[in-house]
Amino acid sequence: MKQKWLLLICILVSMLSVSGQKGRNNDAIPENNDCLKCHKQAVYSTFSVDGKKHMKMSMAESCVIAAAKYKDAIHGSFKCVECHSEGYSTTPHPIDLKFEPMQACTDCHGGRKKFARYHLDSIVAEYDKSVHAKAMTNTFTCWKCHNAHTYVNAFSDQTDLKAAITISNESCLNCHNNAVNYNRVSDKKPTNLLASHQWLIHPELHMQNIRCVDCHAKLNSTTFTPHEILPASKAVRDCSACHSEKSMLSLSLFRTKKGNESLLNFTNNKALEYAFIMGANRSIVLNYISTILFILVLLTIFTHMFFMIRYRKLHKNG
Amino acid sequence: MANLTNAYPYWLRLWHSVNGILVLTLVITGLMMQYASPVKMEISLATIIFVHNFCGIFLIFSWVFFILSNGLSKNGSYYWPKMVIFKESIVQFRYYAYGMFKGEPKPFKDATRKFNPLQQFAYWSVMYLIAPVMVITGFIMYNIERLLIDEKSIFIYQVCDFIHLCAAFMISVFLVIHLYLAFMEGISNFKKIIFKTKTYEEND
Repeated sequence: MKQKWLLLICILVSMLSVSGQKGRNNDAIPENNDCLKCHKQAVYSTFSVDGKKHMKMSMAESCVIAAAKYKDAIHGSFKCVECHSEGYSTTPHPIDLKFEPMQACTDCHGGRKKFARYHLDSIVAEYDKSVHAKAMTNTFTCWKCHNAHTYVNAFSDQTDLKAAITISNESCLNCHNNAVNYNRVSDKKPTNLLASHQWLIHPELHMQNIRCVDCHAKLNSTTFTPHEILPASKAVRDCSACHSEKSMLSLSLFRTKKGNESLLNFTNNKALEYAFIMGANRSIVLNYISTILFILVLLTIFTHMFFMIRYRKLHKNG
Repeated sequence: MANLTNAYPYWLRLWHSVNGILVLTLVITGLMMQYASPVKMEISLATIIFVHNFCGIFLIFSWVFFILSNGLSKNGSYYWPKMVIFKESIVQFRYYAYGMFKGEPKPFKDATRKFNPLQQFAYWSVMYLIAPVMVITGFIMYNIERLLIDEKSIFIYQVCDFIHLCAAFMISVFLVIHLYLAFMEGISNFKKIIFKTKTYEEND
């Protein structure tokens, strides 16, 4: 009996760990299959208005849903019509539904106690001050960065920080590294990111291992991901902001990570499991040992110097 | 002694000056990197790292030049110690710690020797043991972007950084003692080094 319980606990633990790493693993919603039959692919089949002719049609890119990602996403347990109008249940969809406004995050999450831990109000306040809000008052919405169909709360458990960073950066790169998407909201040409980050000592290493927002947004104490995106000219350019004992990354990227204590007692040890940040990860123990040893060397030299001068004086005087 | 009058040829003195400037710059910039702070820094950390990397790469060439020149000239033979060096070092250490204050003569006045046993052991260790360790670990860290295969490779970086710092500390200690002992001989010692008049006999 005891063994059975142990086995059950093991299975539950392994299930939890798997679900933590691979998203929510929601049960498939049978009602959604009717929608996904067309919306999960770039081409769908339909019939002409008179119902006589079978046709293959292209699905607009914004209407294609990554079905597998949706199942694992944070909203993956919802039926499509819980967010979209019931009118979509009929095909072809009534044309006026096209003009239905898209839901914003705050429509469901804003001002509700249940979602207070996500600090949506702070996020909105931060976003309003961001370069995105100022430059694109009407065209920029939460959706530009966060796709509600694929959104996962990547940083909540931090089982895989590297994957979480990739997800976070993808939402920036989706426009800033994609001219087509970028020009949907701006008339400017997107910057060549690799070229503009060449001033960094290891540009690729930085771009792969920290979030864009860690340097390009104003750090705050309430939300894990800052939303006050700064203009490029105001981004962090001082390396020592992160590469120092009081590393900014400990307050942002590694804030929710547990420390990795070791005998050498490293500063900013939260980063150690995942990276090694020059200047930020200093061994306090080694610093003390080296300082003491260096002082001892200097003391020995000064003592030697003292006896040397004394000997030479005595020798000179005869 | 005649066989030591050319113990400090021009190439060696030029190399020593360049090497000294490079090592000193590397120690200072290395300390600034290790103890970087947004409050205290006058020069940007990016500049400091650039100077450190530049001097580090230059030092690799300087080190290779020294090793090759030592191999091609007689100079290398003055560095390589024999097993008796440990015993001799104790005698030399005793002289520095006690004998010299009692007016005892220098224990090793062998005309074929350029360095006393402690110098020989220290110089050999620095140039043939610590310098390659510094060069290899520094090179790995400089090229970490190309060498990082997976997340586990970060451990290699951590180990390299640890070894690099320990080796740098040893070189810093060597530098302080080296400078002290050079000054101990008096300012005239530097004149001898610069104007190539230094021989074993004159150094007595």
